[in-house]
Amino acid sequence: MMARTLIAALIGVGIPLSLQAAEPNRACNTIRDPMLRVDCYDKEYGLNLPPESEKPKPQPSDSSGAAVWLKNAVKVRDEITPDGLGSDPASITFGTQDGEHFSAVKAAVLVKSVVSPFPEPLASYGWGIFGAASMDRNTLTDDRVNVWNAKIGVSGQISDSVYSAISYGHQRDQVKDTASQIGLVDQIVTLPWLTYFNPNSHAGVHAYPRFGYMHQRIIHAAEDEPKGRLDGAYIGFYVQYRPGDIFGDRVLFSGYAQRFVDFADNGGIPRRHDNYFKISAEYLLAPYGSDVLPSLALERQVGADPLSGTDRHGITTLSLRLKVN
Amino acid sequence: MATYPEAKAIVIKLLTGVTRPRIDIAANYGDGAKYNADSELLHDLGIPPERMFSIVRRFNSELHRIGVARRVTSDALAEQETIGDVITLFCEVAEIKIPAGEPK
Repeated sequence: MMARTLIAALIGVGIPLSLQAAEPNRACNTIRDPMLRVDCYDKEYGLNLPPESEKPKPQPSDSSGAAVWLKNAVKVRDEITPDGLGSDPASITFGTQDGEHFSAVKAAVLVKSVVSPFPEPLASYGWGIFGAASMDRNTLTDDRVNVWNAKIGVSGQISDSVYSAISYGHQRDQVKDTASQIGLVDQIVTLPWLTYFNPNSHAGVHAYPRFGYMHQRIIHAAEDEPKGRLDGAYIGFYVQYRPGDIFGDRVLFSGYAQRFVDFADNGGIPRRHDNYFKISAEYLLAPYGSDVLPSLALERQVGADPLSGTDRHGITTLSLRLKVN
Repeated sequence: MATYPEAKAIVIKLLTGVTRPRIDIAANYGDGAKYNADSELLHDLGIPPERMFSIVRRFNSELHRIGVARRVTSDALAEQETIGDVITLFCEVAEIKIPAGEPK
């Protein structure tokens, strides 16, 4: 009797257990979503997995992470272009003009966001923020320049073909003893047919037009100079030509032409109608792809560029540039 | 989330779309081939920085497609100099682990 009872108890315990396991399994099998189905089995078999938020995230690459962000976020250039991108490497120049020895420094530091801080749709259009500071000075007697700029701004795409940068900053001209607040709205137009490349010889040419609006408020000036506001518009055209193998694949030619016209003023400040031209030839002292890329650059600037604050002058410089990738 | 090979293929497809005349990068990519991660966008593919602006929306669209919430800026994309730089940027933004020795 005792033995019969014991067997019955075992069966009594055993049968319900097998039933409890079978029913949820059938329920789990009816779930179509594979992830939910797996979760169902996990609950069924008592697996105590951490919630999704506590799961380890994919690890970014081991050593390059911080370096990549730093490389993309901080740049050293020779100047802040209106779009905040900068152009050539920073330069220190030692030269002679009309028998006068001079030195010149053009340097800018730019900090920009790599990931968009804005909500959609601005984020998808690549809008980010940037800040920059620059100095442009030389020791010439007649054409002395000493201009400092600092600006912050936002930039991104208006469309696939039009990049826009909106910035506000402070400009200090030590030579003319002026200080200005400057607002800029700058557009670069990129058109596929303004780019051509020969993959065999590496010869190529690309160009882009740009246009924009500049608001300048002169807040400090020498005693006999007027203060006030100027509003101007400009249009420019940049072109770069790379002859490729013709010159051993080491030469670059570039040119930029700009027309700037003030259309409004107050305070009796003379309106500017300025042309500005810059052409340069650059010879690379190391092959493309070098981590450190030194080059010799011969550059000629003519005219006045209100965007950078350089006054009317014609100057030719031969400089050693050092680009660090 | 995409795998590293998928991310690499996405970047090569995006860069192919901005070359002019069109260069089939994928068909000539790899060890000993004409193009690799060290290939320079301007010098080897004829892609100047300003042309990179025009693929920002497609770049970000690909990030969205693989379930990444972050979006890259036009400025960051225009600063890239090699194919490997663009692959690395894509993977860093998407938090995709780059295998040792890659990008190559």
